[in-house]
Amino acid sequence: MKSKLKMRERAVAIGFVAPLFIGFAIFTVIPFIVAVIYSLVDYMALQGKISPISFDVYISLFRGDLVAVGFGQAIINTLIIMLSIPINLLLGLLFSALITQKNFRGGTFFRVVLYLPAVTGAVAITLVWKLMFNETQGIVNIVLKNLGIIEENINWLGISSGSTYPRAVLILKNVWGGIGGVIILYVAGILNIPGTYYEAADIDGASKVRQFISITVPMLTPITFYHLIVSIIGGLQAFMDTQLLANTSATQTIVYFIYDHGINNYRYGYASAASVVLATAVMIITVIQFKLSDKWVYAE
Amino acid sequence: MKKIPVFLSVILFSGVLLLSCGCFFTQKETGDDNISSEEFELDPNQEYSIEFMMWGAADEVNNYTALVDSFMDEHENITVSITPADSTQYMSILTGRLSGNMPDLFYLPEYEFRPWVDAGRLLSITNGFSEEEYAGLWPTAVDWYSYNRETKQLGVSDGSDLYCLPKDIGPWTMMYNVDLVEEMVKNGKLTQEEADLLADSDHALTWEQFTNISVKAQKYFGEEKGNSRFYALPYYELSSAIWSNNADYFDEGAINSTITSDEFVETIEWLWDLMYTYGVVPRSTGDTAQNMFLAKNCLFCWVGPYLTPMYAQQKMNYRLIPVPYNGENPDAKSTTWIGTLGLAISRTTEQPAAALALMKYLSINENAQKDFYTRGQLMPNLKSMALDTDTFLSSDDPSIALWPENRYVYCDIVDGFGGETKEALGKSGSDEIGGRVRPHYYTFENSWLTALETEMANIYALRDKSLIRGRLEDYNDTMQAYLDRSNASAGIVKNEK
Repeated sequence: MKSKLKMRERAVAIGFVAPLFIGFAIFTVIPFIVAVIYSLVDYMALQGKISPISFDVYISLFRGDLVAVGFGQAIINTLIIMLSIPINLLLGLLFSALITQKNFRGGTFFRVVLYLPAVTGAVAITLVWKLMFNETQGIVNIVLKNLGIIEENINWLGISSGSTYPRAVLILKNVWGGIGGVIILYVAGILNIPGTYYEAADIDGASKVRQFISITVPMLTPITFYHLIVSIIGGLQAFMDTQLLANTSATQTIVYFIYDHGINNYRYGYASAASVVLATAVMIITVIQFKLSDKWVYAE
Repeated sequence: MKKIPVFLSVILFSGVLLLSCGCFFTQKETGDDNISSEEFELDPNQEYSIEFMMWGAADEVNNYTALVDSFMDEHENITVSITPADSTQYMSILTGRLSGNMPDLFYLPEYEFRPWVDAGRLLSITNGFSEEEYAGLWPTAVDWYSYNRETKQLGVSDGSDLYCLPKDIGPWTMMYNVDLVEEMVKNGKLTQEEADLLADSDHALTWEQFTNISVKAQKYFGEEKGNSRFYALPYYELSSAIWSNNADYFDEGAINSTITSDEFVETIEWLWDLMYTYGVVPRSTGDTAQNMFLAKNCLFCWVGPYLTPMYAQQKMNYRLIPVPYNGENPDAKSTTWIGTLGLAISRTTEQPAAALALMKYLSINENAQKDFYTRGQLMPNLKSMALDTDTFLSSDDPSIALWPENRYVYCDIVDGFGGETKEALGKSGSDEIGGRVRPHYYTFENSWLTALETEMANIYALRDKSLIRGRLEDYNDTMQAYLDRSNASAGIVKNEK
């Protein structure tokens, strides 16, 4: 009787988790396997061409003539644009600490205002930023010129003024757009830190800055860890900004490279190889983050 | 730890399984892509069912649905199912269907024609036309969509076949605002002689003439009238400038890059001059070119047939002009680009006769064509109709009310340098106005153009014109690498490096 019951329980349990696993297999495992195969045989869909199995595509990804404007550049661009992640965390933490102070007025107002970008359509935001940073009629150039900071208009979103400007605008936009989400979680985390910790620190004569460094920051490390994981995975997969805001060689990301090769040029082998490299990088970085988390993430 | 080898084994096993069964791979097309004329003949006793895949805004989908409905009314034994797709996803969806279930008839942008036809994905329609039908087509359009798969040569040649018909033909040329020109003449800012040069649609302006008029317009509207948003022209089309100086991106067959040729460099230097030396073209604008033209913030702008209803609705008083050419170069002629979308039949269709019948209906049916140009949507795909002075080129037919008076400039561009438009209008003299299909039509991959355009932004930003040649020479290796990769995808390997 007992074993029958167990088997029935097991069957029910499998029934509940089966949809998830089936979906995972169909939409993640199989495409990943197919991508690996495509990359190994340098598959070209339009021509129906398959080469003998080799790592040639992976090698040419890094050694081909087009590396300067290809995969290597895409990796550099992606990593530079991801600089918004530490800035976001740092500013988010500071803002959160500020607006949760007892004597700070308007905390709710600032939380709402700072969270607004997170609930606004990403395409709409990007288009507004495109107008703001337009070279001849954008408000940014107009203001900077009126203030005497610049003499000539800057082509922020084109590469004609150098690669720094479009990348800087993308970083700025990502900070502005992402800080709301960071603040919401940090504020929730700060409000959950028991007040007794701060009272004890007060009694010991710790300053507010010391309390922030020694209590608030460590207690928020689980949230910081969550943000890091999510932001790095999202950052490595960035795509839309390149398409909409600043489509230059200085801002084309890894995913754009994959799209360009796979969709525009039917080079499924190249696109798949880049995808496999990206997926592997994401996995390795995430595993390292989890391994290192033992050393710095607070756990009760 | 035992779980990891098990997981890897499952992946490895699945991979071997997928690889061995050939799932997720498209089949290479081999053999002849030509079928006999008998196979293109419709059997009135047979029922046909075909799929037509296209993209477009809701209006266009509705228009084509109505057109397909009327086709089915005329061919009761043919059922057509339309599969509309979003234009941004269209090519990826179409490519995804290569593994088997291809639509019978589908849109194919001209810049995708060469890789698709070379890969053997398209059915030759050469034997599906009568001599009379061929005669009605634009020879240039036949040339665009002809290909020799043996020699990999684009255009009509010995052994070439016809693979597509144009769904539309879009010559992209310049126009000017007639009211602004009249105002300039009235106020003594432009001579009558210059205004007459602009009005002469049979001869293109030289770069020098165009620059002079632009500078005058910039001075008058931009400086004297204080319109800080005014520019003589919102931007300059790169290909139209390059080709109008007898330069090109690459040699014939798109094997070797030619972006360091004297003519190419000279063209880029002239474009740089328009921005920096004369200040008549902005480096970037906050508005679209069309909005600038509608707001009278520019004298010249770019235009194609599909914009006709919009300008008619706005009651814009505009006139077409052929693109300017370099008068200093004796070999240069006014040459702009022509956008076109092809209608192609899948090589794997089982209903070639029905697919061809629908293709002809959508591309060259006279009633449909007349309906389209009456609404100002398309210029006729049929040469015989486009050059007919009783229909499209008529001076008093109400069906052409939406079109600019000198719409024959469009025809003149499309006929290449063949002189057929002049002949139809009873004009004499050599044909100095022509057009070519967009530059990525000539290659197997498109990335080179995107990359070059990005590099051009760098070059336009140089503060010293004398550095342009060096920048182009620096970029030449990259350009060549793109071309080599494009050609290698079709099995063309350069002999010497």
